[in-house]
Amino acid sequence: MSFVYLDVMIEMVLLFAKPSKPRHEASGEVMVPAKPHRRGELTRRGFLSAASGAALGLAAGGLLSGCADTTTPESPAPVDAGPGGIPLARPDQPVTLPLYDDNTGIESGLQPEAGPLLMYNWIDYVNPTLIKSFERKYGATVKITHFTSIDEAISKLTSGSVEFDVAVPGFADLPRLVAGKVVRPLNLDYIPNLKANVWPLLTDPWYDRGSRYSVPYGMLSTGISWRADKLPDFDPAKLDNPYDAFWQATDIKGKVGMLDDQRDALAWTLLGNGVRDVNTGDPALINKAGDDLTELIGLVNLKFGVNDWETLPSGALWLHQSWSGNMILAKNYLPKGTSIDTLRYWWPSEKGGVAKNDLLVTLRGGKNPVLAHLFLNHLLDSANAVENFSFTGFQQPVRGSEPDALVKAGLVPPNLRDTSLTEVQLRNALVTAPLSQSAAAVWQDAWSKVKAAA
Amino acid sequence: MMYSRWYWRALVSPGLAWLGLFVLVPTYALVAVATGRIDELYRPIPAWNPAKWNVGFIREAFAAAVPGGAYWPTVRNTLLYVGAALTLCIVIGYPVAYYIARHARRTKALLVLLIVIPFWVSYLMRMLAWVGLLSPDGYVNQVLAAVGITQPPDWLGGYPLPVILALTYGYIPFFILPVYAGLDRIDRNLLDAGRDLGASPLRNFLHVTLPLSRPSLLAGCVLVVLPMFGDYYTNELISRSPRTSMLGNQVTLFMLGGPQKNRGAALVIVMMAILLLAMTYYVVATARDRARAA
Repeated sequence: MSFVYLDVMIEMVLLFAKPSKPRHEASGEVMVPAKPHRRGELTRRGFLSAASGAALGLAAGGLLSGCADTTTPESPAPVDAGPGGIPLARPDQPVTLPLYDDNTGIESGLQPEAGPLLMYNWIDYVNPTLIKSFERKYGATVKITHFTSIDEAISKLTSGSVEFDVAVPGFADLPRLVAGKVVRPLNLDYIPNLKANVWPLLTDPWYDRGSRYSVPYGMLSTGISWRADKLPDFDPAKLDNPYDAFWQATDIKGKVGMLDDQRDALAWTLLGNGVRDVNTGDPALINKAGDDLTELIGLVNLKFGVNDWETLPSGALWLHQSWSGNMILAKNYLPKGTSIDTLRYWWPSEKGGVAKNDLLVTLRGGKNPVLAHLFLNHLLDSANAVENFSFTGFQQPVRGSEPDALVKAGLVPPNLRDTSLTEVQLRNALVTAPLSQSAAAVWQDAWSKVKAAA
Repeated sequence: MMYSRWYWRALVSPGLAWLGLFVLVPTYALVAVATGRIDELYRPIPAWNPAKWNVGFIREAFAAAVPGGAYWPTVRNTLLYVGAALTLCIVIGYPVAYYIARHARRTKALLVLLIVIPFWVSYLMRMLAWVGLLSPDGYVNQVLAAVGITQPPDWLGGYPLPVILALTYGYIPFFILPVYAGLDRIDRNLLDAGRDLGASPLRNFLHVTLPLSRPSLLAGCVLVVLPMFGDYYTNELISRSPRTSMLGNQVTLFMLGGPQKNRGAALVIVMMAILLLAMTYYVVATARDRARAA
């Protein structure tokens, strides 16, 4: 559309150059009719336009000839550290996130603000009944703004242009939020449920020692979901290389999907290639994974999406790489007459699959820090966590939310028991941890080639 | 009453200032981002001073957009889909505009209203409606099953045709309205003159109506081609397959996350360069038409 306006601008500018009336009309003299311009003959206007265009082009060329011409950063970021020099946390290399003098936590013993509390969250990732119970308890309203991708959310949060109180990032994004002083340090005096209810593994997690900035929220594993009625003989547990399941699905071309998430999709392919370091920055390994995914697109007419909770129940897709909680959500989208028994989920928990947890953080730009802390505490209550799970489908690492308890409570159908995690499984899982900037660029380049089917 | 030249210039100045602010400034900001760098929080740091521009990402984007380059499949898809959708807009939209302008008498206003009504629903909702219609158990397949076609096509299976049809459906009102306006303004006396001089209805159309409607036809083409080129959500909703990925999808991938927003900006510049060729033709063609009319 900007070119339409550019054309209008050119016409307007030329209006300034055009005489208001012919001179002969002013002087009263009789004019001999001018010879009509022949096609291709250069008019004064045409000459002026061409000359100015040529001058502009010459000037631009001269200007650009002196410009730098490189795609290598002039100050490359360190390969083994994240933003602000924060070390890249790994389960076997835990990190204590830095505190800054100009970004301090709140004092203890303060009264909660009047609100409203502003939350920035995934769609349908908190039970509305918990929102209402919080509002009743503290007399403040809660307003939720949604995002559809974590990249979009982090971009908005780091832009500094928003004033949310609470957000739900992943631990791979936490260093950027800390270095950018976007998140506020927590005062754990307001969040007693962290020590009281949360699994010991995550009260002092490897990515945020001392829980200085975050508390854990929903957990998920990355596995395979499928329609058992369409694929009755399919069992990834019996495959030598379950990660290869999608490449073997050539007989159900057009019915296969993977997560539209560069970390999860490429990590899956890395694991299928025998690479267990799902946080590698090696371009050769990552590009090979990208090439394999591109091959898969042609093999099975692969779709990318994060709405497998919709496409699997509808039958649009039969086999999908999934986040575990999506299959609990899927039961709400089954057509009439289709049983929940038709859905299956499996993840390679015994062979080192990928699992992770989301975080709850309070934001420095928020105007209700005390209320934000109390909201985090509210969500970490054991009973509230179970109630939250009944809506979101994503289990929280909180006492009373273990897989057996959820199956016993009728919240998880037995055929989808694998969607829930134990603390041991979470401890042993592989994680998609923070990357250095250069490694993140390599992953994104590989992903862009996959999405271009190049 | 004669107005001085400064009267018209004063009248046009606020509009010029507005366009300068909201077209030139954002375009310069785009170039500054494409020639700038990224900080450690993945935020773009634009290079506002041309002396500090780094054209490497722009050069790389152009190199990747030509045949054999990494983005060539998306550029090729974009050119093909936009070309096909534009052709469909012309084939379907021109006769509709012609009928409304030339033959719909009492129903003219109603027909124009019917074309405008879809605008009352957001583009996203209209595309989501198509997803529902085209899904495996959607109404389209139910109708096909009722007439005996039990193996209907996989409409949402990542094929170009549904994307092209969705683009056509989404943008055809933008084409019909300016063409209708142009056809409606054609002096009927000119058509009568053609008939009086012995032209058949077809010759009258080809030699009188069509040439006179060329400016509005070009305007309609511009109004659908420009937004189609940057469209990314139609493919996302209707296809979700990288095989039908368009240039807008690549731009979104870089601009909405990750540490390479300058690459996304460079791709937008590639898109603008392609569109500049089309716009140049439009400007030259309309200038010639205006000169001929004068």
